[in-house]
Amino acid sequence: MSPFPPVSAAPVLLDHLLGLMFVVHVVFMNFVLAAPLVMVWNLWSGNDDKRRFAQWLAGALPVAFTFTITLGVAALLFVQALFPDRFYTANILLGKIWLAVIPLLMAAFYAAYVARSLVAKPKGSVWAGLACLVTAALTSCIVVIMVSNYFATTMAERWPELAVKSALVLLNQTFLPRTLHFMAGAFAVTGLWMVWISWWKRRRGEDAAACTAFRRQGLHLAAGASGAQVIAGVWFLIWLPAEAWDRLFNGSVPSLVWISGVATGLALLGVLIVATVYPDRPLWSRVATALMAWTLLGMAAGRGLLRLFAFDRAFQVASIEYRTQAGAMLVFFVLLLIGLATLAALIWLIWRLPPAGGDSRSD
Amino acid sequence: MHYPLWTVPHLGGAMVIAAISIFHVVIAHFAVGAGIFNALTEIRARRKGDATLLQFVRDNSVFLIYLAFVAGAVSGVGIWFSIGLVAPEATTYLIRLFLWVWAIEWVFFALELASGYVYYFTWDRLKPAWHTAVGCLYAVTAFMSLVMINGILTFMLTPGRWLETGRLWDAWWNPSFLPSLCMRTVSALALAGIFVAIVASMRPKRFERSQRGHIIAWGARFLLPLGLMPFLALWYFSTLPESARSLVSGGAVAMTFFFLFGVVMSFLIAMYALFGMLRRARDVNIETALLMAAIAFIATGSMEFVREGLRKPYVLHDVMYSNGIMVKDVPMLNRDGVLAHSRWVQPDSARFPGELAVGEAVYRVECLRCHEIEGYNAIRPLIRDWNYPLIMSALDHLDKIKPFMPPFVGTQAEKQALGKYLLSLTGGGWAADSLADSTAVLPAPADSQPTAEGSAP
Repeated sequence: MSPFPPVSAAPVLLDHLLGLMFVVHVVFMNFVLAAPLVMVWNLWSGNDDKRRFAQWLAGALPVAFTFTITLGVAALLFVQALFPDRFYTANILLGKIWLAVIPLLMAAFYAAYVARSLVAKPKGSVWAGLACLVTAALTSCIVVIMVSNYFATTMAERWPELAVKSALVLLNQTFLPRTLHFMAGAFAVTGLWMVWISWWKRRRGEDAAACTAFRRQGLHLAAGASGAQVIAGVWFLIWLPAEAWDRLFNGSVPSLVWISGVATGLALLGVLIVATVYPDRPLWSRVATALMAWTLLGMAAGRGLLRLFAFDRAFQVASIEYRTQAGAMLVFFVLLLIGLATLAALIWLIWRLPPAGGDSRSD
Repeated sequence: MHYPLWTVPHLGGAMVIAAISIFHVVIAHFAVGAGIFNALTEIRARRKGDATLLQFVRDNSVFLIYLAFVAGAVSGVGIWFSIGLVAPEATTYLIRLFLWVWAIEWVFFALELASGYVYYFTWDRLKPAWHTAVGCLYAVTAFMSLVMINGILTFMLTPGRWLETGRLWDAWWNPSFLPSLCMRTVSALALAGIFVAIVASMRPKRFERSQRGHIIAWGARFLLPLGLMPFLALWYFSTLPESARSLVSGGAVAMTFFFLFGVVMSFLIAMYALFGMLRRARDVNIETALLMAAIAFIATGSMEFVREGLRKPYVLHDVMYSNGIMVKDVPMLNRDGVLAHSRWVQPDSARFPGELAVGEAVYRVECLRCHEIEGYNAIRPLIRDWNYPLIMSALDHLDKIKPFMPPFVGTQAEKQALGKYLLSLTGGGWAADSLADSTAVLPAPADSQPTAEGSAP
């Protein structure tokens, strides 16, 4: 019997909140992961237009960093509440490696600010590019640690070995395809970020041709990365045991979301290819974004299914003991709604702003 | 008991938490204080047409982004990571109990960040009234974030009526909630005021001497509430459990010293702000400003040290001891033994002979979280030259001899084994003493340290 208080709401609800927060976190995190590398590519291309693209990306990078962390905290909160035994044990077994996330994250964040401050300077391309590389290297390390931690939570039968040798998580046969799938996804999502940044810039009065070129670059990136993601995804699925396949196709709601996510992922690839031909038609950007959103939900649902499968073949979230704190939960949801309305109002304020007019902190 | 152990050789896990926490608390309090400062300053500057103050707050809203949104946010995550490593039982307990409070705090924090960015990016672009409103939104959400977290932190020391009712809001709105919130608010405002002095004094080219004096005098007003600190400290003190009060009032000298230092320094800064910075409108040079900042940093760190220390021997008062043992489990563990219920720590017979292996395992379960063998707060210097009867006597009355220590928990056999393991660490100083015959209990010398990571279950 657990010595700790029961979970303070229905575990299924918390599991859904976890999935939702993870998806929103991933949207920002993918940009943080891939945008610095796209910036380097643009900065070191020797082309002034492309250097401007790097500036546009740099403008969004610190904000994306902030929300990556904040939304990641929300997801971790629900993980800790639902699976403390797995989560904390994995953390402790990784120990210093797990704690290293903090200095790595802080250094990556500040490096992103350095890149942002240098990218607009006429002779700052080299140093800004180097700062971007530092950011990308550090965030990649964090991804590896996070994936390792995830694997550590799922291999309880090997915890005694893990206590002696943390590197064992890297020997998991799905580690490489999973990480590659993840990284390819980061470029795909970043490609769509670029599409929307280009529309925003156009609205702010930037040159139409430059915006189209940036959008096209984003669409090409998203299409190519989505293709790579399909290949890595198939590789990953092949390595899964048959029982895991049964979990993924068991007909439950998460399973259906996952299957539909795979289908929309494939459709997304087709839409992105079409959109590269018609980069100035906003319809394709919207369709691609909607498909991407559902694909991410599907991937999160599949991830959740595989996690529970790895915990215990017969594990069900619903079996976790709980006692609902109805009042506090109600306060949270009311405040969340107010918060979302306030956030919408802030976005509306920004949306209606006149063009910047040379203010360095703009956009 | 429930999780593997994670320790840091020589430093100890608690010191890792302390270092990250103090760093975070200073920045997080600054973020709250600076939010209130920015909002009030902008309102005042616009109402009075004060271009200097408006320019100052416009220039310096960037520090919120650079400090609070990066170092503050990341170190906040760092606290979670570190307490999850060092005290996973207590963290699990708190997460389960306060899940929705943390979720509510998260909503405020997310809004704080969003409004902070909008505030910074829209200077001179939004209508003044709207911009001021966004600044107020930032101030309110940052403060509410502090309010929510304050309830969790104070619960750990003063769970109050929750012990009887088990109701969440009784846990959150506990006896020390209000005085602690007032102390933290005063501290947050002061950090903002000191920061104003630092920034203004660093920018002689941007602002003339008279302008700097004007800015610093305005910032000094945010230091004045520090004058209330002695009274707030007394109020806080009155809400503490008797055991905690006795620690501050001489029971633990370091605690008394740190507490007094924090209170007195706060009061002195307030007096300097009143008589030096405000009434005489003196320009403050950068050295003085940095000295004030250093004192404020140490005072804040001291108060956090006291807050952490006052909880001892508990990590959650009356619920869980600082070594992760639940108070309600003590009778069961005394009957069955701690090792019988330890999922991860078992005797390491390959490294330690006979009973020493048992004693070393008990040491890992009950002592290692606070006492490394060597280093900070290490056990070896604490028991140097002790003999076996003295060690056993100390283990028999641990919580009586030192009220901040948890009692020994476990069977008599485990206690004796622990005693023999501790004796093996003493260095044999009693070997030439008349009482030294008790060292004969040792099967063999052993000076190796227990593993930092948990052993297999």
